[in-house]
Amino acid sequence: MSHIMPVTSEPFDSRRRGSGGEEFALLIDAVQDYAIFLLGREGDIRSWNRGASRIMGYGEEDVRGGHFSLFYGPGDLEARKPQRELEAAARDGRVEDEGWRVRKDGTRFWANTIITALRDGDGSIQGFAKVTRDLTQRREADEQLRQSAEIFQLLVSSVRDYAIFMLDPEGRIATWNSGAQRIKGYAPEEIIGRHFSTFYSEEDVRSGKPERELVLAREQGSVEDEGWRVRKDGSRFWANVVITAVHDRRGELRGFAKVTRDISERKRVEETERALLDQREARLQAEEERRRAEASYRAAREANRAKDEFLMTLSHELRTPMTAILGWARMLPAMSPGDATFRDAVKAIAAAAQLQSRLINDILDVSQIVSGKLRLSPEAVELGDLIMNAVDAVRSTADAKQITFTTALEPGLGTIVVDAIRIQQVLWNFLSNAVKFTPRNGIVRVSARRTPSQVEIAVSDDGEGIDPQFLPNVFEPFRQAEVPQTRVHGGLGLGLSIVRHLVEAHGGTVTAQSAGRGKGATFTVTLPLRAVADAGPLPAERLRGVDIILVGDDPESRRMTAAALRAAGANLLPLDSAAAALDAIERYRPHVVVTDIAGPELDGYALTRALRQREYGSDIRIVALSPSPPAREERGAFDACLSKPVDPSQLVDEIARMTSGSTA
Amino acid sequence: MDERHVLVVEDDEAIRGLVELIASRHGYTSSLVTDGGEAIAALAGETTYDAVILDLMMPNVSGYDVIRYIKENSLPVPVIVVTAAIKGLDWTRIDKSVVKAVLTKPFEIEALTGALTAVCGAPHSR
Repeated sequence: MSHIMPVTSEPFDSRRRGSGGEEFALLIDAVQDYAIFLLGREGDIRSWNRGASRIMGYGEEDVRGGHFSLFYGPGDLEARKPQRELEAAARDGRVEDEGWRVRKDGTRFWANTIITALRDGDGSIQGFAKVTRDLTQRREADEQLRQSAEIFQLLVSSVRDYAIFMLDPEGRIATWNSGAQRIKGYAPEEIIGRHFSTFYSEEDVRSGKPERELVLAREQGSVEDEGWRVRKDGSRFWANVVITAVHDRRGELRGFAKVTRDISERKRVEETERALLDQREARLQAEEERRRAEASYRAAREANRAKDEFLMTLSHELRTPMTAILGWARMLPAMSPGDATFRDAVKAIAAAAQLQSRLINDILDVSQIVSGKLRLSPEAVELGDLIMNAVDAVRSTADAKQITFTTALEPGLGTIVVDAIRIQQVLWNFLSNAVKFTPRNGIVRVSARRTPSQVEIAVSDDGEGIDPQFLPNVFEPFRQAEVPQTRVHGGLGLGLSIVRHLVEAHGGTVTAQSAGRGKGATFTVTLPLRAVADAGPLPAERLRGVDIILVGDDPESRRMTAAALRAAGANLLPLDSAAAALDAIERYRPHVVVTDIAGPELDGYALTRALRQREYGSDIRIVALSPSPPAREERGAFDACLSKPVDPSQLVDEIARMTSGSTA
Repeated sequence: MDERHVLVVEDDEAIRGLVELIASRHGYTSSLVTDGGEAIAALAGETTYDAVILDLMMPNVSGYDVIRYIKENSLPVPVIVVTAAIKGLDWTRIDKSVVKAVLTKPFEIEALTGALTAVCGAPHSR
C-alpha cells in the first residue's frame, strides 16, 4: 500500500449525511455479505464496511486512504486492470467484472465487482462506489458442475466399448462417441443428423423396427433389444441395444440415449458353447447307442450261448434213446424170443423210441412256433373229457411210481372251443412234469372250474418245487433248473415254453407257483371259453353240404341262428311250426334238424317223437335248443342239447362234429 | 472164480441194462449204479473193480466228480467214459491217467468190448 488517506469529511462519506444518511451508513456498514466501499476519483479508498473487512480481510485502518488496486493480483496490476475499470466506469457509468482478487493474507477469492461512477450535479466525477461479492463458493460449484459435465462428456466420448449417443425426439443422431465410431464405423461428421435406422438391416427397416423401438422407449422409458445391426461397411454385428427416453425437468421429451454393445464375440462364444454342448450331447447319445448295441450284442451272444447249450442238450438227449435202440437191436439176434432179456430188449427199444419221437415232436413244435406256422384246429370239446384223457395218458407212468391222482372238476364245466390236441398236450405236459417231480407214493392234484368268461385248470404236486429265483424263467425255452453236467431229469427244457405258446395262441395264460424247493409246484392254465374264436376267425363253411331244417317260433332268434348256420355254409330251411317241419322233413330228408323245444307255440319234444317214429327217423340228427337243460329222460331223444341263447360257434362245431363223414 | 468185475455208472435204465448184457456176454460181472454219488460209494467200499464204465452227465454227482475222486485217491481202476455229450466235453477234467477210453453214444458194441479188453486184458472165455 503506497499510502492510506485519512478519512475526510467528504460529502460522500455516508456517515456524515444527515439523520437519514446516518441510518443508511449504518445499514451499509452492517452488510456482511457484500464489500461496499467508496473510492475517490483516483481510486483511493474512502470508506469500508463490515462486509469488506470480512471478504478482504483488511480492517478499516488498514485500507483507509489506500488504493483499491490493493485487491488485485500481479497479473491484473500489470494489465492495469484497476485503472481501466475506473476509466470504463467513468465512461460508461458502471462496470462489472468477475475475477480473482487478493485478500490481505494473500489468498485469492473469486469476486464479482460492480464499480459505479458517482457524479455531482454538473456531471463531473466525484468518485466511485464499489460493491464486491465473494463468489468463490459459487464459482467452485459452477466449476465442479462444468468440470463434471466436461468429464462426463469426456467419459462418454472416450468410451470405446460402447456406442453411446443421443437421438433427437425424431430419432436423428445428435451426438457420437468413439465407441460408436469404432463399433459402427462412422466418423461423427458422417453420421450426426442422420436417422438411426441407418444402423438397422433392410428387413428391420421395412418392418418398422426402429420406429417401434422409439415408441416403446417413449412408452416404457426404455427398450432393450438384441439383434443384427449394420456397420458403415455393410457388415453385420450382433448388438445389444438399450434405448432410453430422455426428458427434461419439465417432462418434455428431449430425445433418446442409445447405448449399443457389439456382443458378436459373446454370441460367438455362446454359439461355440452351444455347439460344444450339442457335441457333448451327440457324444453321450453315441455312447448310449454304443451301450445299447453292446447290450443287444450281449443279449444276442447270450441267446447264441443258450442255443449252443440247447444243441448240446439236444444232441445228448437224442443220442441217449438212440444208444438204447441201436444197442438193444444189435443184441436181439443173439436172443431167443422166449428169453426174459428179449422182452426187456423190446420194451427198452419201444420206450426209447417213444422218448425220441416225443423229443422230435417238441423240436417240430418249437420250429413251428418260431417260424409262426403254428396252426390251431379248433373244435368244441367237453372240458372234463379233455382233462381226463390227459390224466389217462400219464396214468401208467404214475402207477409205476405209485402216484395217486386226485381230481376236483367242478360239475358243469361244459364245452370249450379249443384245439383239443394242443390243449391235451398242454395238460399232459403239466401232468407228466408233476409225475416226474413227485416222489414215489406222492399225490398229484388236478382241479378245474369255470367262470362266466373262462375256465381255469390247475395241476399241483408236492414234489421238488421250484427255486424262487428260477420261477420267472420256467416258461423260457432252453432253461432247466439244473447245470447240464448233473441232469436230474432228461428232456430238452422246451416243454413249458411250448406250453406257454400253445396257451397264449388260445388267448389264455399260464402261470407257475411254488413256495420253493421241496414245497411242490402248481401250474395253472386259464382259457377263454371261446378261445379260438378270439384267437382268429373260425374256418369258414364247415357245414358246406349239410342240409338243415331249423324250427323255431321266435322270429328274432330264428333269424340269428339261421345267419350263423348259413355263414358256415349249410343249406338251410327255417320254419316256424312243428307241422311245417314234419312236412318238410318228409320231403327233403335233411341231415340235421335244429329245433326249439320249449317255445310257447312249438313242442320240440312232440316233433322229435313224431320224427323218430318214421323209418328214417334215426338217420336224422336232432339238435335241441332250450333255455334250460331238458330233463334227463327227455335228453336221450336228441343228438345234442344246446342252451339258449345259442353260441353260434358252438352250434356250428356241434353240427360239424355229428355230421363229419355222413356228408362227405 | 476169477471173473472180471466192472462198475457201470449210468442214469439211463435202458443203457445200463444194455451195458450189463454186453459185459456179461463177454465174461464180466457188472455192478450197476445210477449216479456219481453211488459210484463213489461203491468205489470206497470193499469191492475192487477191474474197470469203471462211466457216463458223464448224470444227476446229483457227475462223472467228472467220479474221475476226480479216483485221481485224488490214487485208485488203480481204469475208466471207460461212455457219453452222449461229445461236443460239450470238458477235456481238462478227463484225466488221461484215469480215463483210458472215451466212447460216444450211440456206441458200437465192439467198441465197448474192445475198450474193456484193452483196459482189463482179454476176457475169460465162457
